[in-house]
Amino acid sequence: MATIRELFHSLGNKHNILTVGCGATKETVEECLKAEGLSKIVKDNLLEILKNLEQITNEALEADKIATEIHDRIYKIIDPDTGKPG
Amino acid sequence: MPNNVLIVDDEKFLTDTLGAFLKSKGYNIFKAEDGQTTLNIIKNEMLDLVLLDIKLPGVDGIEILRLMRRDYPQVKVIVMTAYDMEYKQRVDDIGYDAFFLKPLLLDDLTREIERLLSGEKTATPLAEDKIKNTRQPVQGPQFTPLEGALPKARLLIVSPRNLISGLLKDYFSKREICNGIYEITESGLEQLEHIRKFQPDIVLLDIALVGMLGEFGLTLMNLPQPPKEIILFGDPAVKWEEVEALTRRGTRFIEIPSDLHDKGYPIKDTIERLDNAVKDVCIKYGLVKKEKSYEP
Repeated sequence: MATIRELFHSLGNKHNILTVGCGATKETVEECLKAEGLSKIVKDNLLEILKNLEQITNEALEADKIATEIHDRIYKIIDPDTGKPG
Repeated sequence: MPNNVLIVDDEKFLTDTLGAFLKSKGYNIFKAEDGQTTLNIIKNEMLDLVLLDIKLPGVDGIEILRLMRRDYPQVKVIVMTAYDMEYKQRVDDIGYDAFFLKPLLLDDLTREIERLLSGEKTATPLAEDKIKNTRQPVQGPQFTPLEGALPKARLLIVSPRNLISGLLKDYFSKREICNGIYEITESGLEQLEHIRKFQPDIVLLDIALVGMLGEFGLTLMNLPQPPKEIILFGDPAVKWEEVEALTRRGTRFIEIPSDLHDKGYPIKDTIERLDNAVKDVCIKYGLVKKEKSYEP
């Protein structure tokens, strides 16, 4: 069974995948927006995608803050390696 | 000529995505998802910068950071980790060029990479709420601790492997080779009277003593004059849970595989890493002797 430390580490990695994935996708979309001859509807859709990526990134950062709060509270009362009261 | 950047993380999605992103920025990218692959790339490629996750399978990121600082000081290292502020003191002691807590924001990471590779001396301001704990490189302990002083300590070697304990005893006994003054003894776990009389400053303990490390460690710490530190060494392939728990608490661990001819671990390098760990402890606890020529 994974330790509490390992679980928090995995959680942090999941949030990281979200922010890095969104960042890389945002870069790709911004490159697409540079293309000439885009129709208005395509441009609008790409801008909508950018807005949603920004939202996902912000939510991931907020989730990380909440997880950090939980991490700090739990570490005060439980040994993260044994799971027993510390 | 593009800069060579190595990305080290055990999450493949991350190394692939970050790799593609940085490649689009003009960097030449290498990727690794475990410690051994990382070591191979470091040794075989002329790297400019390493993005290093601390928690890795096999050889851990802290040992890799130590090796980088010692053998490749010109290579910039950005340390990345998730929630492991417990490791921060350890990495602070070794030194790095930047430290990022995950989750990463690519704009901030890119800016930091550009700053490091351009050789800028002052940091570009980073968003405080997004990047935590970025700091300037910390000077780690020096391996020649003081001008005109040598590390001096009593070393106890505890290992069931006669060949490795013989090699270590031979190495640390020769002042001109190890550049230190060490009194050495070897012992088994049961020879507590011998250990008590010897009063070791530092214990070099082989993790091959499976199932007994924790109890033996406690016994040592309960001696009237306990050692300053225990340094674990052994085969990373058999680094089991008890060792993981000890290393997570800050106990040093130096890889010395069972096969002393393992090309991934040249024996000279591994013994020197153990020597450096011993010197770190000597510096930390003031276990040094001034050379006569420097005495007033």
